[in-house]
Amino acid sequence: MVIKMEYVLQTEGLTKRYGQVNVVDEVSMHVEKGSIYGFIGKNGAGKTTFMRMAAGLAEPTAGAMLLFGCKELEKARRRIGTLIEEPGAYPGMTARENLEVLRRSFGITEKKRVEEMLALTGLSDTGKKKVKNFSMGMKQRLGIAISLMRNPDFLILDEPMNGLDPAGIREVRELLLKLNREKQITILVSSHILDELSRIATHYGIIREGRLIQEFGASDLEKRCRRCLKLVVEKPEAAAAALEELSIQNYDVPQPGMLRVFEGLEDTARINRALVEKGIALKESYLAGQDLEGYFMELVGK
Amino acid sequence: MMGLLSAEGYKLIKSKSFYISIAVVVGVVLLMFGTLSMADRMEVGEPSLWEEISVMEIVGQIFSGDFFPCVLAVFVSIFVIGEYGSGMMKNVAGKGQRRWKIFLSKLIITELAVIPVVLVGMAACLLWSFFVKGGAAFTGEFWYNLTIYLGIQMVLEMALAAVFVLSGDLCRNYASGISLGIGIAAFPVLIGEGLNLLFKNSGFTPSEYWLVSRSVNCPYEGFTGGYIAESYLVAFFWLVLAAGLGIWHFSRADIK
Repeated sequence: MVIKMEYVLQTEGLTKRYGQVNVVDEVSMHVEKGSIYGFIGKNGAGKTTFMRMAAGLAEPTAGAMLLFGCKELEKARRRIGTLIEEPGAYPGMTARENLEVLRRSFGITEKKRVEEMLALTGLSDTGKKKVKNFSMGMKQRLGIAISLMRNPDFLILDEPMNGLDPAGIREVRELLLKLNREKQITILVSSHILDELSRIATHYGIIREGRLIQEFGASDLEKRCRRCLKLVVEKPEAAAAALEELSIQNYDVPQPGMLRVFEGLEDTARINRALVEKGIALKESYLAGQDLEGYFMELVGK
Repeated sequence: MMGLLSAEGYKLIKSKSFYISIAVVVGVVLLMFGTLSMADRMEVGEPSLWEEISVMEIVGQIFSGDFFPCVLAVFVSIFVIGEYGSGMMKNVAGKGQRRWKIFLSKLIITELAVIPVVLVGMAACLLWSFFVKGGAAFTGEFWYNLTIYLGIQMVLEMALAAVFVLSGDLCRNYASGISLGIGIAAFPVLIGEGLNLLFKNSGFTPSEYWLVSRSVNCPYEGFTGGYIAESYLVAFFWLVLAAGLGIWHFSRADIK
């Protein structure tokens, strides 16, 4: 593996096998320093298992991993904070007591750190309310407070917006952006709320059946998700010529038999009609690629 | 390591199950005295039961049985398994803390937690014995014998707690962990008795090397140096074995 210091997390061929099944299958991920990396995949695709390996909670079956360009993972993991699935907190304790346990475990001498984290995540006024009586949103916020306890340089967050109401989602989104922009914390975040993810992520990785099938930047996503008219035709060359006749220059051929048209979308009937009049068999014609969700669904299937 | 120990100690102080365990021990001691008092009242015309039974025998009623192991099995299982189901384990493990240190800190604090549980049980026994038998029962070699007996029971219970920490770490589920703990407390005694029969001609008594059996068969007086040393060695062996296996397993197992 070529070590690049600009990567906070770099894996190569990372694999986790349970029995005969590769839950994570040769994943080579690259999380750049300062990025917000949106990790997308269906349930059971291997996101959580991958994150658990990165967090040191599960041992990889094969492959290599570097954290902050360092092979000494145990040492490097002092600089990461995690929220994997639900926050690990004692239900019989208050938020303050839970953070106090963590403060002691990590040997943090500043007692005010607990109060700071409570304030940052809006849990200062929870008082003696025990975690078992918290709403889902409060639990998630406590999970984020736990992950931030040691001032990490890298956050691994698995579904941090899970169960939150719209206001809670917005709060978490703003908090993550603030942490990324003001404290330069790199974030690896998975979420099923793709619309939300697309508002914060600078990079994306899509995992399907344990394999990382695509990794790309947000600007690249814009190109991939550009609204377009997809035409599935028998004679792509003739179809291209017909488009040229309509003065349409902005199109491409992503795969044999398919054209993507990026202009003239306000009147797609005109394009369809022109193709039919030229005697080109039009198998399919549809508008596509509107957002991350659409792109993801197209990629992994419904 | 000091940080981990401090955190574990804090959790113990905040743990409801710890206080419930102590309350259960006191409750059962009171229950035993209540039962003995009822038995005493029923034996009209006979010499008082309290005159026939010594304080050491009363203490033995509590310590020489499955009761303490069962209380410890439940408490330790909750204290250990709670870490995995809804605890901080996944926030602490893999964050620059060596796994063996995490396991060892949990084990050490659990061992320390056994001390007040045993001491409170003993204190409750002595207090009620004082009420029913008076101060005269605490004379002679009583305190000498009690100290030795308490020391032996303490190390045996602490070693047993280490076995429960191991079983909790292996199970990581309340139901199976508590069941296994109680099973460990109860069944090996029977197995040990069976093994004794198997080895009866060789002079070797396997049950003497199992913690609960040794606790049950511990004498109240006439202790020899050999017996005391052997008891401490048996406890030490099981403690080290449980700690070693626990560290080995915990260092390798994934944390959900």
